[in-house]
Amino acid sequence: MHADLECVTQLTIEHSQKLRNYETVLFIDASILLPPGEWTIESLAPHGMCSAQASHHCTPADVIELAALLFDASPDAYLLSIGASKFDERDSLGEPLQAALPNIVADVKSFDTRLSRKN
Amino acid sequence: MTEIQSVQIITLTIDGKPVGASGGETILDVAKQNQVFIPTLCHLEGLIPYGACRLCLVEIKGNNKLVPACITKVAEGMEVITNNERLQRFRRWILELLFTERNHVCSVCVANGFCELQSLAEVLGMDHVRLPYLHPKFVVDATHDRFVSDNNRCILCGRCVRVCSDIEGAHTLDIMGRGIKARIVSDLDDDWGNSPTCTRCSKCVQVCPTGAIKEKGRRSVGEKFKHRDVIAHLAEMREAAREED
Amino acid sequence: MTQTITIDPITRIEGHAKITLHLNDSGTVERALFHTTQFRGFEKFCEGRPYYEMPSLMARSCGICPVAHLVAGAKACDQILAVKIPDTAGDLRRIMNFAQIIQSHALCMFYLSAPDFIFGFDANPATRNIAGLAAKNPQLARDGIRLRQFGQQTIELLGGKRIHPAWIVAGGVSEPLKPDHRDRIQVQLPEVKDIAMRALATFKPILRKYESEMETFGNFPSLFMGLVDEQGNIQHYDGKLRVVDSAGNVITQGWDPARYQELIAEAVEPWTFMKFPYYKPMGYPNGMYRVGPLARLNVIARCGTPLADAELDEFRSKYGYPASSSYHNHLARLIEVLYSIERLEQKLSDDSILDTHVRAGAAPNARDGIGVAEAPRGTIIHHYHVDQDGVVEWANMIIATGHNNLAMNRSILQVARSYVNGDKLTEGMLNRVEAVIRAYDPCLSCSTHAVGQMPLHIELYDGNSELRDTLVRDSA
Ligand code: SF4
Ligand code: FES
Repeated sequence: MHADLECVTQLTIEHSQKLRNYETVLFIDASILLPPGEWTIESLAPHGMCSAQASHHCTPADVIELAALLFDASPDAYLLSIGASKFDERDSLGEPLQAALPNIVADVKSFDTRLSRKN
Repeated sequence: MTEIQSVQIITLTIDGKPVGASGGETILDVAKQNQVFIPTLCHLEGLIPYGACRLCLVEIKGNNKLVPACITKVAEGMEVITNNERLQRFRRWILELLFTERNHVCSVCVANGFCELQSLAEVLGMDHVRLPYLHPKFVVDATHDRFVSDNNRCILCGRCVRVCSDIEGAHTLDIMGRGIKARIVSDLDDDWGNSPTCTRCSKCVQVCPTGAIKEKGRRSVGEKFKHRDVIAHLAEMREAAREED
Repeated sequence: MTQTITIDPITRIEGHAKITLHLNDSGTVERALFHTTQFRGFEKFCEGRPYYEMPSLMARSCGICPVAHLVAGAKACDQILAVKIPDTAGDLRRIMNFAQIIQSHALCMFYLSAPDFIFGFDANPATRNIAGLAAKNPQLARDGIRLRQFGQQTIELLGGKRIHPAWIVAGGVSEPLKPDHRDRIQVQLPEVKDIAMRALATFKPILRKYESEMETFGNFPSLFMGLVDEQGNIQHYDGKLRVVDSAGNVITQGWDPARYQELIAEAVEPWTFMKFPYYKPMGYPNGMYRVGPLARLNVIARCGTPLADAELDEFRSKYGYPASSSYHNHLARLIEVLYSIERLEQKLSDDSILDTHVRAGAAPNARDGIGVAEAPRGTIIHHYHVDQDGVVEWANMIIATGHNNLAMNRSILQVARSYVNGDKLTEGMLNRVEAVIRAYDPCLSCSTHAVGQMPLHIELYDGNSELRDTLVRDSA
């Protein structure tokens, strides 16, 4: 399976256009809701709602929504949320996250195997 | 009469790997020969080692002081450790301190993309500055018709001073003042443009690791490309010439 | 009892701008003040830096229209070098400036303002945004995205970077245009031209629906200022300053921007960091003038390209000359997008654009450099004073939003008067205040980034400075 990796500081409206080119999209984002070091992978689908209030501030769900509305693109989309506690610009990874990182990486690595098994 | 030089052979270990060296070589030399990367900043091939930046600090078993690899000679049985978490932490700290002291705003610097300080920060993972910026204000000396000296971007590595005195033989540039006030001056702290000693050779431009010394002309932000190898080449040629004599 | 109503944007722009409305005893708005509470000090930290850093340094003052600042800064540097830059370099800078105008206007029109027009100013903010637009009129939303993408791509093809390219430099540009990059821009032109035409056809009737609102929408007599060329055609890159009064009389003509200080003075007020430039001959605050898309259409004789000129004729026959409501900035933006595309067609089809001589070199030869350009939001002026070696001694910048400062305050007052009744704060008033600010598309995060809804925080104080009422509207 071929994958492209893109690191962005912000998701923008324009990203919705890019999703046209992909079958599967995995968004990876830090989360304040999960305890540090825990992670979840949930699937995202267009849900008729977009909360985008700014051209450069979209949630993964917004991007999915816009991709479906505008570009007829509905890739299988997933959101990997990783619980973290420190978000300041000068922070490095906290200990729980540091410890969980290998497992998260392993989980992401097995992600495409799981996907193909699903099909 | 032929003189037979006796070369002393030394064995030591670098990161646990046994290596051989000849006496008089530095840890940095030997590490390089064995493809072990030790970060350096003030060191430049062709210039006399100086030990100013401390980025090349390494551990030696049985010695609780860290030593700079660029000026420490190898010794028999030495066990050198070039990389561990403690060293990485210290190296990042050194970079961080450099970044806090003077104005290294890459985005508007002529050396953006060609800067050794910038690329080392990238390589060593120094991605945050946790201390307050100091940014003392230095006057930019643009009086020379070919070069600009901007102490606000200087890391006091002394490369320009060494190349100017040791390779070019002019000794126009030197360091004046101490601590945070230390700065590069030309001659007796005169305008560079008035210097009777400067030969306009531009070697200082080539060796400066940051955007502190810059050539005038069609060079603007992010365009200060440098030919650093040229100094090693010069030094080598000079050595060869001397041997022939 | 006098009261003060404070409208305070609260999310990520805290400390940027807030509005206070001052009521008199009878509950009518007496004063409306648009405060900029953040001081950025760009002019200060330029001091002591070499001139060639200025374009890049100054461009950092804005993430939305950095190209215009690069252009004005580089033009000021050209003057310091006292060189005439190669023609191709000038044209390449123009091309990048047009691309900037296209992408910035598309952002303002499609992403930020269109939801207001399509759904109405009082529609539920949950749908009054780009997603609502995407659901209701996907073609329109796609067009907006496409236009913006075209503008950004063009900037990237020229300068190698989308946001802060360091390509525009003292003496010209740093790299010539590569033939394949020219081709890649050129092939897209027919498509984006169609989009621009379609946008005009779509928006014209929609904008007309709000004609009654225009009456109170920044609708007042003022001067207008902008750059024009020798024939009086629109100019965004060079040209001379022209000022037109509220009756359409040209009162200043062919004014060399280098003499801007004789034309414009800046007043300061204690309640805001933003200065108040005014037209010197008429004094402060009577010398209020507007800049930007509408002002540009009001000062020019013609655009100079066929499609844009046809639109200009229609615009003038509908809204008179000069059009006085700031609301017309929206339509003016679309006309400028079309104009920019037509000019790109012309410039790119001429092979001289590929000339590789694109940079002039010299040492600093003059002590002052004054660069002017038309940014998407209006005229910007950069003035650098250097020592004999080219080190900046002081700098002065007048930006578009600054020129419009007096007019923006006036517009907010006008809107507030029509929508504030007694000490009641209504959503309708909030929406209108927000919309009138957006009509100027000012360079403030609050109005340039929030889609469909500006986060606002209103506090109502009585004469004893006691908090009587609070109305908070979050962005999400
Ligand atoms: S001017 Fe450059 S070469 Fe000289 S000491 Fe400073 S950083 Fe080093
Ligand atoms: S490289 Fe050794 S001290 Fe600088």
